[in-house]
Amino acid sequence: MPAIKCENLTKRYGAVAALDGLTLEVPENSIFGFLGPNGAGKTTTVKLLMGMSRPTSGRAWVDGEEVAADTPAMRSHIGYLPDVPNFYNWMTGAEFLRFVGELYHLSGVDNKSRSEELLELADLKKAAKRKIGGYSRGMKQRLGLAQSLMNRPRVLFLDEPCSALDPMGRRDVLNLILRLKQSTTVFMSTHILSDVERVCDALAIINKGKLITTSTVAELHARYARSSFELEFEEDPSALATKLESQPWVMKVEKLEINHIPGLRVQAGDVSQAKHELPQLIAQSGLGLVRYEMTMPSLEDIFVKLVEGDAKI
Amino acid sequence: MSGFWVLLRKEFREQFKTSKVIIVAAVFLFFGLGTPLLTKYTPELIKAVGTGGITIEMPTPTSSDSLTEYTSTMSQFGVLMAVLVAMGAIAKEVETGTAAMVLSKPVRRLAFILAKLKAEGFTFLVALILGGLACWGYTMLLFGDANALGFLYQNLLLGLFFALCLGITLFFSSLMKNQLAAGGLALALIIFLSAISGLPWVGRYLPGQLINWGNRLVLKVPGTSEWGAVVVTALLVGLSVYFTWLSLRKKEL
Repeated sequence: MPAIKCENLTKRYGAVAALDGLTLEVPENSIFGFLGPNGAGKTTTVKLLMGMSRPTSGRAWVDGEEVAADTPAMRSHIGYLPDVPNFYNWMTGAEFLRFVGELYHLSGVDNKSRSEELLELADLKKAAKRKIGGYSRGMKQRLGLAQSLMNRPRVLFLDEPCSALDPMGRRDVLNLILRLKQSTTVFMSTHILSDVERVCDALAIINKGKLITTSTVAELHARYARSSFELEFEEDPSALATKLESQPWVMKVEKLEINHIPGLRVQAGDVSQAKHELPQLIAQSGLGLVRYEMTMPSLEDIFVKLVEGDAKI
Repeated sequence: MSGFWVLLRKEFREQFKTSKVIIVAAVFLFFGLGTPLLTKYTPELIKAVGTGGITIEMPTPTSSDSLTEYTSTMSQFGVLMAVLVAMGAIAKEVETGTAAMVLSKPVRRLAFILAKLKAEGFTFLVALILGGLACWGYTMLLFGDANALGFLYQNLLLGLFFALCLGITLFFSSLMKNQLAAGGLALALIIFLSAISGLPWVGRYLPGQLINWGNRLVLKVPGTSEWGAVVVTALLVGLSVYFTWLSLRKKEL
């Protein structure tokens, strides 16, 4: 049984489709990255899955139960970190966690020990008795993550969990997410691709409310990564570029200029053939070769191509 | 009801931590102490200042004047306080995201509403008790007598009227995105309800009659009881909670 499932989930605001027919399954105990540029519909999706927003059409299930507003039983097993977590500023960090523990019906002893454990984990022990109103954005983000874990959730929704964190804070949060994997399904919306590459088993890319693809990071590389050759010369390589464009194993030739050094990026359809024939063609051109490098596109390159519609799906 | 008692405790604490109880109680206390004093000494003040030859017949103030003047004043200032206390209760929480944080937990939305209404009701109960005791005690001191039972009934009726004001304001707070808009609309509806209480026949059953009945009880003026207005007001409080719940259920958090 998938931990999260949605069928044709759609949310419209007037004529604008914030989410357009999302169909998705997230397996249990996986870390699922939900990727998209700003305004793609990530937060809308998380809110729909949390039952905080009503879909225009479509249905969703979380932890086996159909999502609806006002369903306390379902929420007992779910954790949620909003994109910008806000708190009662008059409470202290420790008070807020104990308040959340009470809402989850934790016993007094369990509530106390769990909140202390999470304050430690969120590196907020020293600030535990300070009012939240005086917390920095990063501290609020860490407190938000701590409160989302109070009930040891089976499904955890994290909306941009690392957005306000410094590099050390990000590393700690990502390590924590990795540790949760044994017992929790994590649905993490983000636009930070390195985070996805580091922790996610699978991912979905969304743009303008539409799902572009779902895949594992490795599959995505295998499907969309096309090896490129980056070449730099002492002279203008225009003549070589024209010759390369006529080769059957060449997909695309782009002119480059890095630090005033002219160059070419050659995308090969048949990498093996390119490895043999490209050096020969360079030698025949008589150009002075400065750099010859075979490169693989990063997840970021693939993401940008998919979002901009450059890659065929 | 899931989450109600935890939320109620939190709301009670919030009433103290944000000084709402203290501010509302201080306003009631101010008028509770000030009204008997003003009622007693206004004729003497006018005499002392002088009337420039114009004869003004001032009736001798009584303890009943003091008590009814207090409730009359509080029925206006109290409404304003109720609107100010409740207008941001839901709208502000939705706007800042704390409502989303709380309602993502195993909490019923009705529990969220009722906890707020009860905690705010508690604030007004404390204020009514303190202001009422101050007014009654000072009236006793200055006038030598005060209709305790009539004044108690009058305060109970005033409390019911404030419960309605809180309920209406909570409803608009759940409906509107902006707390000022919620407050403005709530005030407009409360003024409208009070204004139409003067209409023949139907006016008898409207909330505005609660204050008039309370005054008659203090003044020991024989007249009909306005139980119809009590029942209608209680029903309106219930309806305002129901519509607040409907509105919050559909709210995008």
